[in-house]
Amino acid sequence: MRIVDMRTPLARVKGAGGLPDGVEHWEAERVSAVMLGPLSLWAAFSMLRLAGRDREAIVAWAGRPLNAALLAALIGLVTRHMQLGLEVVTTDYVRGWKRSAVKLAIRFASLVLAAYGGASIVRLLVERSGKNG
Amino acid sequence: MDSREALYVGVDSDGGVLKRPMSPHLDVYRFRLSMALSIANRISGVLSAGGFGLAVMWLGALASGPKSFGRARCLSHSLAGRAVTAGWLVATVYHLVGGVRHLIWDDVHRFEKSEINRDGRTSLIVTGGISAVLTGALCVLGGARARKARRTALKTAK
Repeated sequence: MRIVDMRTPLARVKGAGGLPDGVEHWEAERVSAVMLGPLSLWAAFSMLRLAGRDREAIVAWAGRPLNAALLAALIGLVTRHMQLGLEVVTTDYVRGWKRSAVKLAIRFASLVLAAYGGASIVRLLVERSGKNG
Repeated sequence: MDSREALYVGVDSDGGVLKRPMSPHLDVYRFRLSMALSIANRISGVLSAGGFGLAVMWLGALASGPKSFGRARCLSHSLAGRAVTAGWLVATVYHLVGGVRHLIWDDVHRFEKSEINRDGRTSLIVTGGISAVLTGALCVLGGARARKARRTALKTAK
C-alpha cells in the first residue's frame, strides 16, 4: 500500500490542477489589463510625439519624472500581464514536467525584462540630471 | 469504437489510466468568425509580448548611449524593422480591442449569438482603423522629422 492512499481525496487533488490558484491568477490578469488601457493610450501618443526625433530629444523626454514614472508603470504592468497570459497558454498546451519548466522560464524572462527596463529608465534619468546640473 | 478515442487517454491524480470524456471537436463545426477571433486574441497576445520585448531592448539601447541607439535606429528604420513594428502595433491593438470584449463578457453582457457576430465584425473594423491611423501617423511624422533633421544637419555642415 502506498503512502499516497492515506491522503483524503481532497488532499490528493489539491494543487494537481492546471492552475492551482486560478481565481487569483484570473483576477490579476484582468486588473493588470484594465490598468494597461489608459497606459497604452499614453504609450501610443508618446510614440507619435517621439517618432523620428533625435536621441537628445528622446532622452529629454525620458528624463521627465512623470514620463519616467509612467514608463516604469507600463513596463511593470506589461511584464506582469504578459507573464500571467503566457502561463495560461502554457497550462493549456504544455504537459507534464515541461509545463513547470516553461512556466519557470516565462517567470524568469519576465523578471529580467522588467529589471532591464527599470535599469534603462534609471540610467536615462541619471544622464538627464547630469545635463541639468 | 471510434479511432479518435485513442486521443482521450488520460491520467488521474493517482497516476492511473482513465478515459477522458469526448468533447465536440473543432472539425465537427462549420467555420465561424468568432472562433478565429477567439484564438486570434491569444496569438495576438503572444505576438504583442514578443514585440514588447523588442521595445524594451530598444529602450536599453537608448539608455546605453548614442552608438547603440544608432544601431537600434538602423534596425527599427529598416524595411524589416518597419514591418515588425507595424505587425506589433496591429497585434497589440487587436489584443486591446479583444480585451475590452472579454471584460464586457466577464460582466455577463453581449453573449447573444447576434451580438457576438456583430461585435466580432466591429472589432475587426475598429482594429483596422486604429492600426491604420497609428502606423500611418507614425510613418508620416517620423519620416518628416527625420528629413528635417537631415536638412538641418546638412546646413550646419556647410
